[in-house]
Amino acid sequence: MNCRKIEPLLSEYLNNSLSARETLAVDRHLSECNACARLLNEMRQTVSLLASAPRREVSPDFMANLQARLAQTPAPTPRRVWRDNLRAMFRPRTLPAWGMAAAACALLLFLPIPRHVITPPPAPNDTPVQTADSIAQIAKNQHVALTAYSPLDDLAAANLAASSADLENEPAGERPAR
Amino acid sequence: MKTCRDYLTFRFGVVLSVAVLLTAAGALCVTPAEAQTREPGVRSSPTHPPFPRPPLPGAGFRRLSPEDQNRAREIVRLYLRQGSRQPYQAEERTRLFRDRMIESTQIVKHQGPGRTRIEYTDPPLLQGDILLVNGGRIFKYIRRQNRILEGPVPVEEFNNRAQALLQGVIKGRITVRVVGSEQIAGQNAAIVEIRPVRGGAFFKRLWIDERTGVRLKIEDADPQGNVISTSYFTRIDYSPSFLPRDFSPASLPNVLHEPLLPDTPPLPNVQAAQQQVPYPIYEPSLPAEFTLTGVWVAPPAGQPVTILRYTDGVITFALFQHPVRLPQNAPERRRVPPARLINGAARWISGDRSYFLIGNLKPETFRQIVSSLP
Repeated sequence: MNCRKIEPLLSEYLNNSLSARETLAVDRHLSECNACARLLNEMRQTVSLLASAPRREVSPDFMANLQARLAQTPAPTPRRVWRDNLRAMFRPRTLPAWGMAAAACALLLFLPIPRHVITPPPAPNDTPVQTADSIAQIAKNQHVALTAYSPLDDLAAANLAASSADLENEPAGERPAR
Repeated sequence: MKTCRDYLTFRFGVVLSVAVLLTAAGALCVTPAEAQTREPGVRSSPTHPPFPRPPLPGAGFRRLSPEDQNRAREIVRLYLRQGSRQPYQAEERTRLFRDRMIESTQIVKHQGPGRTRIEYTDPPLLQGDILLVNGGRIFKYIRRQNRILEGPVPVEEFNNRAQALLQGVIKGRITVRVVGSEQIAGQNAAIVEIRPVRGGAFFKRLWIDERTGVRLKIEDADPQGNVISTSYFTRIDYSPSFLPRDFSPASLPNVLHEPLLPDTPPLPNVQAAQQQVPYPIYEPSLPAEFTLTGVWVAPPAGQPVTILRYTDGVITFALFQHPVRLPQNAPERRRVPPARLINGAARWISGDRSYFLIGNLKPETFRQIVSSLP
């Protein structure tokens, strides 16, 4: 046994409360280790000093009063549980999972990103494609207005054609009879 | 307890990393262009068997004498000069012959030059819609959208086109001939066929009331003689009693008016339009018989759209263009122009430009236009 294991046992060694096996181990260590022997001596001197000190009598209700005051003492500042949980999340056992997540993120960072993913801000004269769809519908209505300019054009047919997309998509029940 | 917590933490780490990977994969796989094509609620157009198009009645008519041609010119003159002044109220039916026929029925009220009101009664989708032309303006009320689109229709422009048509007939650029007669809505009508001599081969037939000059029926036909669209009166009243409000914009629902076209007259040429738009206007290459009849710069949604309108004397088409921002990896189909006009319209994107063409053109003419534009 080394010093780190022997030191916690010295107090019980003084009280003769160790098992025979532990007592033998401590004896064997103390015979070889001056530091632990010196520590044991200091502990013995402290115990004897305390034993020789004068004793004071306390009132019979001392313990009851002590418990009551302890109960009135404000609760200690709560421990920062989240910090402990955070530490627990990064225990060595969980590091492989975090490593995978970090590797995935790093992989994404280094992947070549296609240009379309990063959409440039629209230039003032550009029109998004979806807007162009609505412009096409506006164009059909403008064509209706322009048809009214000409004596040879069929205004009603132009207007029906402008609505044809909606009519062709209407449910069968709403179709005109042939 | 510790083991359980460690296990849960391990699982959390695994799930987090998988979620990160899946999110990244999704972002890389779905392009913005694809996302734009996924419009919720828009149904794909159903497929229908081809609808048989009726042949024109004059397809096998006899060759006409010069006297007949003179008569045809007189009837056209009657239509242009007297027919527009004749008040009437009529029920009109319009049919578009496409993959399947589309039909509408409307009440037409005409009080004189530049004063017409069309009230849709069928189909249900158009029921309640109104087209009102009055005071040099056109108002299109769309009931289902509860809005009014408004634009100018100068009476002088209409008169100029009528004058150009007469001039084209007189100078032989446009041929007119009477190909028959027919009763339409109880009225005797002469069937006049109007073709450009060197035009886009599409032509028109008008059924003109020989007594009043009112156009009772009109057909647009392709070069093979197949009817593309037609509008005809089913009944007509030449002594209508109109309400004072019938031709007033105040008769329309009180909703916001949205501008369709600029109030200024059409621009005379592309150079004038070029000063109003920040992008170069591209002009298509066209067969010699087509001439520019007007240029407009319309600002819908703050985006100036240039409209070039051409005619061969009989049929007209309009080319709309404006810059567009298209993602580099947009689906190729958006960039490839269609080989021909579908139902009289085509839209395509080339370079930084979005084009939209409305009109009836031969496939070769359309291809010439497309290939000439950058």
